[in-house]
Amino acid sequence: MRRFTTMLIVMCCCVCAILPTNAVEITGADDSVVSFVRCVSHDMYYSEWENAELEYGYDLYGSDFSTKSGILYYVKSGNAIVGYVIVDRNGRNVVEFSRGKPAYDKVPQTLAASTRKYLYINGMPALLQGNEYIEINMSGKPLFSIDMVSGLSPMYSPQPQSKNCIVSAISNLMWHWSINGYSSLASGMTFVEVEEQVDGIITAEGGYANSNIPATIEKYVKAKSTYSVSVTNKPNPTFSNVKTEVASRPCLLGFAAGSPYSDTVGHMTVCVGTRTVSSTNYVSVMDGWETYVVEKAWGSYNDFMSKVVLSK
Amino acid sequence: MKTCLKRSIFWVAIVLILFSACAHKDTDNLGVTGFPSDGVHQPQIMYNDNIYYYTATGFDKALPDTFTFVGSVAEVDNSSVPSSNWNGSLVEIGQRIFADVDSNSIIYVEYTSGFAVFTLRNE
Repeated sequence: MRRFTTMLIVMCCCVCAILPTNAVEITGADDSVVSFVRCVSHDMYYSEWENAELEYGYDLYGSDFSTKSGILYYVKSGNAIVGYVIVDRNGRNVVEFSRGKPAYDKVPQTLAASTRKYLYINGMPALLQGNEYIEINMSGKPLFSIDMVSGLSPMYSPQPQSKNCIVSAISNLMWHWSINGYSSLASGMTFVEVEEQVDGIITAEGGYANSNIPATIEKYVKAKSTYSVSVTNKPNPTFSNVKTEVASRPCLLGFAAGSPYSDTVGHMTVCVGTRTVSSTNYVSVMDGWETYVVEKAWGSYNDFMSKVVLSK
Repeated sequence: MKTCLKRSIFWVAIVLILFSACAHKDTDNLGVTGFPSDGVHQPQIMYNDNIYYYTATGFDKALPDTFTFVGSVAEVDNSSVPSSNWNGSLVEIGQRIFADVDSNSIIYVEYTSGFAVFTLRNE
């Protein structure tokens, strides 16, 4: 079906080349790109492109971050953006087009940066912000990031929770350490099995309360390994407290009732980073809801942290 | 007698001060946090044979022009994930659902303070 559609579009382009021009206007795009957009607009799914204009969006760069790999143009109908096209470095051949928004424009606001390079590598979008290289998917969601200076990229593998959020947060923390040098913590186990074991311990300690976290983690680590662990609860942490802690290691971070997670119930997460954008503080968390690290605005609802120091 | 009364008042005051000093605000959550392990933990709704999940992006979004009212939450069960259209977990019966006929990636659900985005799970 896809091949058929592509063939139709190509045939359409050939026919359009000999037809009189319509109302597509350009602002710097090569004639061949304008011609392509004009042709595509004959497809019923792209009818909004019929009287559209092409507006330069931004340059795209390749894997060396300096060689231009393409140009992105917005397709605009009036003031509305009705799609985009990406052309190759020569500016003549369209390599990607869509009625939707470019992935770069769907990146969460929390990742906004004043200086950024848009990367287009092997047909996939990525960003370079300062020293940070971030691969994103077509929905703009970050998939992977690495500090280009240190080369360090802790492996994060957030797992969706199947049990209480404290249980899940402790399990996600154990899971994280298990793939970052402390393999005994989940050796031969699935995430659900880790959750089940943590659930059993915290239930025996008295239930899903923050005060039971230290004993639960200590007993879990002792049961699974010979590692040493120290767990310290800290109520009402400041953003600075959390920032200092996650600079060295992840910590548990609580969102009290009234946070974006819930009006009525508190939620526990694993915090793995912080960021400040336009004077607003954000925390990067594995929240048990998503399978990637998400960023949430810091607020007075962040009423709890638990420092967990592991050593061999 | 007067001296005795004064001493009593003094000691009562001391005891009260000590008690008030000890009765600090407990922020270490002696109560339960989160939902029980045997229930659903994330608000979700089944619409158009897909489950849409609330991802804590806030209850206060504005509704985009392209989204129109399509129906309301019919049944709620917080012990298991929804298996029929218009059913949900951790939402309220009657909450209004808005969808875009051209895109099925997100829906909006009305709350008292605005609209929350519910998305398909990104596997």
